Amino acid sequence: METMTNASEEAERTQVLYHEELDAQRVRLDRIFAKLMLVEWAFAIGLAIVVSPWSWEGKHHVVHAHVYLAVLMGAGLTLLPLFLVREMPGSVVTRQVIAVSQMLWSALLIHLTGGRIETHFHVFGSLAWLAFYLDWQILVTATVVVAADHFLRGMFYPESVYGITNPEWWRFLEHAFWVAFEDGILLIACHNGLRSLRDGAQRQAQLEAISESEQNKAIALEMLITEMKARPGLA
Amino acid sequence: MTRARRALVYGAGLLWIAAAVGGTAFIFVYESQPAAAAQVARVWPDAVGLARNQSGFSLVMAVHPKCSCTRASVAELNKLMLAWGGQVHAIALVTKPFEVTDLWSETDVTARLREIPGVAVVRDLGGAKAAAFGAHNSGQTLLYDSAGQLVFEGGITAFRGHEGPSIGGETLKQIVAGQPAPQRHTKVFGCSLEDKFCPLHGTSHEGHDHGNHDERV
Repeated sequence: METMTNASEEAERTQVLYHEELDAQRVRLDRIFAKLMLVEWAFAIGLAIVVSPWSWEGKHHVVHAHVYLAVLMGAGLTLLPLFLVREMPGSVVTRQVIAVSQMLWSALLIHLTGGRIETHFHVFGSLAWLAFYLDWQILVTATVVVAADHFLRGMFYPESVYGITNPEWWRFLEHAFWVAFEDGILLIACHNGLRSLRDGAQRQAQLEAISESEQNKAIALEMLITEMKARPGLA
Repeated sequence: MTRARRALVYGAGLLWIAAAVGGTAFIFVYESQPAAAAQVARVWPDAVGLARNQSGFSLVMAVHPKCSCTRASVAELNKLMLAWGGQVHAIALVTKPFEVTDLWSETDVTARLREIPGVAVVRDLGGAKAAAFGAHNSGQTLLYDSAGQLVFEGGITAFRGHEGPSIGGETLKQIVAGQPAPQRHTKVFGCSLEDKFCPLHGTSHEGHDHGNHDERV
């Protein structure tokens, strides 16, 4: 009976330790993303100023739309995640907002760099970063944002995505497939990461239980010795 | 959470939605908004004083040297010229308003154009030559056959300032390869070559010489 109670306590302790470590990891990651988004915002503004500062009509120029876009859209994409990281670190809402914002950052940076193929790697890099949350729902959200962007572009202006005006209706799936391909790997990594955390928590709980048991034994032994010393006939 | 903090969350939330939806929509509209369609020269305008290729195709691209979107057109032109390997003679008309020094048109776009094999870079004073071809926006590309007849006009990027496959580029390849090309006109996205304060090709004063200036640079 006592063994069953100990096992149950150990399982409970395992759960507590597991969630403590998972939450701590997610809060750490929230803070990393907050800093990353500030860096992305500064980078986007710098990029717009260096690459496309002006829009021209003959010899006259006005500030290029990219500069406004980098400042305003960048602010919109960054401020809510920053606020949520400060007010609700580790919450589901915070990381869902971060996931959507991060994928929209990809879209903005791709646009600001003139659709450079290299900038598209931002999507894949971001997915890898998001995977550290060890939350498959985040990856689904991020993938849906990317797929929706391609689907809508493909529907309304296919040339902007595929370079042709009448692609097959399923063409967006080909692009989404490569994102899903990475998702597959990351989902396995998430699963393994969670299992490692759980194993670690279990080991920690077992160690704590053993330590507690040993301490109890030491206390009992000490009490026994004290009791024996107190009986002069046994000394 | 206090009322002030809740208001901040809602404010940031609204800004976020505006950025996510509005920003994305703006990018889409901005990227796909072409310049007004131009009435281009159907026949090679001999009056501009530029020699065309008598035995093959001649390509003309109007370029605003400071237009950031044009970098993509220049990159696509480079790919085409490399693929054609000397089959097509190309002329890049780099516009330069009268009031500014030559240095004004010496940008990374112009430098990149000079590096492309088979492209003659011509400084176009006041945009007069581009206007003779009917080109009003940077990136406008025209292809003429050996008889001087227009066979293609438009842009060679899929949308504003973005490199990559485009209908314009594919059409040019088909025409030069002698294949049937269903489309002979595409959208142009570059900056205006003309000064909004003076439609007479980049000058705010009348009386400039808008004649022939075949100034290869």
